[in-house]
Amino acid sequence: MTDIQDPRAIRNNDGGPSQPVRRDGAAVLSLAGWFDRALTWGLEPTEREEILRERESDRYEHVTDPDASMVSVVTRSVWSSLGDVWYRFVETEASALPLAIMFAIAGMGALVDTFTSDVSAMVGALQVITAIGYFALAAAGLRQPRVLQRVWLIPGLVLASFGTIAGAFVVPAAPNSGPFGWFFKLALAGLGIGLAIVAIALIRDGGSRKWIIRGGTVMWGSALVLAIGGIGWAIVDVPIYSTRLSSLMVAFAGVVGAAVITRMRNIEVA
Amino acid sequence: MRRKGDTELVTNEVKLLLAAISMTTSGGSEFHGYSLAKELVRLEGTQTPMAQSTLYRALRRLEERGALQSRWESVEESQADGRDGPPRRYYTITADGIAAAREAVARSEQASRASAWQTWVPSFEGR
Repeated sequence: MTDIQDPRAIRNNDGGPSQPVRRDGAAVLSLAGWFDRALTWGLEPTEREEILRERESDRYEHVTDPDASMVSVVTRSVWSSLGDVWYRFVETEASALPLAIMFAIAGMGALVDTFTSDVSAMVGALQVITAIGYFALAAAGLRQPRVLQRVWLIPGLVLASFGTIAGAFVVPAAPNSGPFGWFFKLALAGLGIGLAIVAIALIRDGGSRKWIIRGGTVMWGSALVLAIGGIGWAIVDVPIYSTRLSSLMVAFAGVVGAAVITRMRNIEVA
Repeated sequence: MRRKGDTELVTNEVKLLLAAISMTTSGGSEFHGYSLAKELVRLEGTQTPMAQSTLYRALRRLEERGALQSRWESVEESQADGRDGPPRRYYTITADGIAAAREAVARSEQASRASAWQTWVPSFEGR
């Protein structure tokens, strides 16, 4: 295991026995380095060089850390790349803006669908209620960076959770979606339940941390179910191009939703 | 978007300062980014160290506000240490950093309810 003669061998962080850089580790170092270069493209050259240098040093330490598994190295590299993409758009992890934009788009989607699709009066009414709820959630995040305003948040959560849960039962499965239509219903129900859990936690005792975490986790899982449903729908409904495009947009919305929710940990409620 | 005129530390910055204090009190005067992330894993009992994209942005911000200082390791130092890896960037926590961490912890205890959303989706904490 220990081989001081091996030119790839280094001492670990605590000055303990040397560890060689494994071949798979070298591949990860190389690949992650390319991702870093791509994702820092366009930054001020000196700043970019410093970022790349420090990242290279960090990954080397991680790959040669005898306590670290290769799974943790790869997972961390993937999360880092996703984080880089995020920061290119949002600048910081602590903004409520992406959540607000996500709900604003969801509200627009519900409203547009109400007036452009041939839906029943019941479904239309539920979609309007849901849209109002989503707009209130968007307003909660747009008023001040880093902080969701309780005065907008709670009514928004109540309306959105009611409309979304009821919609999951009432809205028919998408045509030609096969079993994946049920993924949408499941995702809608999950999203509504997650919103309801957060609403109850905020109303009952001013924000039980444990239950808000659970609500957020349910919403995150629902967004992933939505993404899987969208991809599945695109696969089973191959002949209809426009439907496939819609289903892929749904999948994209699910992935973006999941990503947005995971990055919300620094937001506060005022 | 957030930092303009804002003097409050965000959760990750506080965590990093606490990890830095922990490492300093256990005898290390200087630490590099990965060792700090590893210390955070130990303190929080998580599986994966904080992602580089989050870690080094937070360290830059802490350095800009004077909570940390950093220097690059020279090639001679690296060789004297018997390592073959790329040079490390070493950080030290300043008196301002210790004071900022104390203040943030006190504020967090006072407003723990209001800041409950800080720990949304715990499995992603620290990434």
